[in-house]
Amino acid sequence: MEDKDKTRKQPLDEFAKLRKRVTELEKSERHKISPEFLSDGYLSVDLKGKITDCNSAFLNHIGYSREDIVNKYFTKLPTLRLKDIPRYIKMYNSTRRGKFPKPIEYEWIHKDGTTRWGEAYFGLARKKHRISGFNIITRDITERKKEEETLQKSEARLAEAQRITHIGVWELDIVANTLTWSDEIYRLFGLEPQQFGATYEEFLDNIHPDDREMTNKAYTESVKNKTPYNIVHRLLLKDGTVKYVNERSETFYDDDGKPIRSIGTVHDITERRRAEEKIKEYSENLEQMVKERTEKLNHALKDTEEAKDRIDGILKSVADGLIVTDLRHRVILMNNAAEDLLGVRLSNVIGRSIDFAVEEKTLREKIRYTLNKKTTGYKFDFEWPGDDPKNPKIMRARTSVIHDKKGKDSGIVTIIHDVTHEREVDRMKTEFLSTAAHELRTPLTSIQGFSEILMTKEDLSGDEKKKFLHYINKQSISLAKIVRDLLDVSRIESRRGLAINKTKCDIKKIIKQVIPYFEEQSQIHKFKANFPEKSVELHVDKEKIEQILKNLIGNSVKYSPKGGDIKINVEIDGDCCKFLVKDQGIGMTSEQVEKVFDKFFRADASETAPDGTGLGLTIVKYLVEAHNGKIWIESRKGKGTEVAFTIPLKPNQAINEMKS
Amino acid sequence: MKKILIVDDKKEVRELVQVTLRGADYTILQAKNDKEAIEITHAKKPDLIIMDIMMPGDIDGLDAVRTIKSDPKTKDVKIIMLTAKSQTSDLDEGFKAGADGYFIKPFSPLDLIRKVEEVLG
Repeated sequence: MEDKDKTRKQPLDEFAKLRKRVTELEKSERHKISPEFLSDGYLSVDLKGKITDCNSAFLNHIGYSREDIVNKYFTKLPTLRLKDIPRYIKMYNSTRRGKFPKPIEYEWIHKDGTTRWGEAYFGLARKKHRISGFNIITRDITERKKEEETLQKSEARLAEAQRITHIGVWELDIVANTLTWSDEIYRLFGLEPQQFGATYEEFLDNIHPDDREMTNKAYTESVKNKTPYNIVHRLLLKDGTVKYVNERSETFYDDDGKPIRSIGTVHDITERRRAEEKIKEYSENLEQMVKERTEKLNHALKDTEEAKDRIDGILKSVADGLIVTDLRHRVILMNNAAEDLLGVRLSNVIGRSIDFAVEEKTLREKIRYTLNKKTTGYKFDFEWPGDDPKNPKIMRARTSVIHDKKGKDSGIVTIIHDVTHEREVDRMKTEFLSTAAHELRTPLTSIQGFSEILMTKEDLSGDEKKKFLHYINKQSISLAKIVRDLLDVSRIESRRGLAINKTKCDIKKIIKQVIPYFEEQSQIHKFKANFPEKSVELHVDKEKIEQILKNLIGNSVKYSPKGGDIKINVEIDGDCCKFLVKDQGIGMTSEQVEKVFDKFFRADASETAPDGTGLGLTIVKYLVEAHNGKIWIESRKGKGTEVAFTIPLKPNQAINEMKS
Repeated sequence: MKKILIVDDKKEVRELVQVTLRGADYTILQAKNDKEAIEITHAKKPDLIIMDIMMPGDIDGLDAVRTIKSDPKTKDVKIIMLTAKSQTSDLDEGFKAGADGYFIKPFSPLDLIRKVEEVLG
């Protein structure tokens, strides 16, 4: 703005001179000075508005010839623009009233079609002291106008650039102490552009109080040290808005080193700063999130590891052997049971072929077979020499294909289970049923047969009838015993156990009731009972003790076919009551003794073998143990057998012992 | 008079069969094991043997059947198995060995008489 004024000042001065020239010209009229000598255009118009004369310079300005101009009305000049005509008229009137107006700027159309800028000054022409018309001096200012335009454009561009970049420019004239702000600075400070004159104080006022000192110092030191400065500070606007600006400034000095003026830029970096803060916030958040996620991951990892350890632990501790092999039959995993079974350590065979780890051919081949056939749940049994090659173990292996998450085969898991015992139990079960059936059929044969004979035969003597009834009765009792034994064993086997109802019992009394039962049955055996002098009272199930004794004495009777003494001793041995049943029968070998408590074991299966299910001692052992007692057998083939058992004197004694 | 040999290790069973067949026109012989059974078969030439084929002893009951049936002198003797085994496979074994019929314990004495008459008839 200031600059524009400046540029205008100059032509004004020029025109003062021009006016002078015109006056001179007026005079020269009188002195007949030809206008042809003027470098500016000259045009004379009479009072009717008709052009009376012009010089060559004017013709040059407009590109037309004298003939085109002279004697034409001014308003009909081909170069005039219609919109300018009112201004010329105004000029004309004003000039007539004797006022010397300011020159006017006007545009005209050159003959070549281009629009040009000119300046015109109107003056009066007089003839014999009477106004005869006007003298008009014109000047082509097109070049200057273009320069002005360029300057205006570049200023506008600069202002636009400042607005867009949020960079404001200020200039401090230190000598005149004037501060000039570009529009953008006003905007930055939240003020209307050029609202009031800028001052350094105004500037400081807008700086955030916390940054004011620092900014002032930065500037003053920059001036002092003759170094440009570049700082970031905050602005606190009147409405409370906070802005961040980047301020750069440089000071210029005169030859004596005195500062003349400072030029600076203020760059609004609030948005950038906000973005930076956001980014910082994000990055801090991100950092926090990463930290949290890492922690969570670590937790998860720990959990996973623990779970893995747990699974490993479970796998390792399962009693069944477990071997995992990959698609190329290499050992990946093997638990302790498998290690023990195969006699190898995982550490030695891991990653190696099963040919190396598994010596057993069947097992090896079946593992391969499973993978080849992709059969899952393939089950097979094989014999395993084990510790005792004479009694190989029966192992049952199950192989199955392991699928990964995508359902692709990834290996084989083989589980090896020792089924020797199951097989044995199976065998025993079958034998049990068959024996039980057979044992039931034997008494039933007599019962059904003799009862039918008693009903149908008429030639029977009284003695015969009595004898047959006796058979039936005897076999019924036998049948009842077999059934009871079977049920007992079944209860023991299924772990439901036998109900033990303990009461205080006099042992002497029990034995004295049992012996006559056997004395009735056998005349060839002598039953001898020995008791301590003091009566023995035990907290036991009377019926069960009777059952034990009947079984043991019964066995002695059965296995002493030639008769002999059967001793029943009762004595106090420490904190136990010890029972002993001793016979002079056929006895047993040590191998037989070993199996004597096994179910269905019968020491003698010979021609003279007594009836029996082989369940008696199994039940007796259970009953003794149910009373917290112990039972053992000593026997010599051909000499006799001695069965001893103990019952604690105090109830629950054995349990207490165990606890202590 | 037809001779019938009863083979069973249990006296009671032998007695039962004896009483069952008493009154009919049979001579009853008894053996308590395979060995005795083969001896008596050779000595007395019974027409029918009623034999328990699940007897404990030196020879499997079926072996006695085979022995008797494979000996030209005794091969015509009819044999009825008296058994506590009732599984078809066990009976098949008996028939393979040469047995002519079977009877499963426990049995009805009247049925046994009919069976004996049928086999001897």
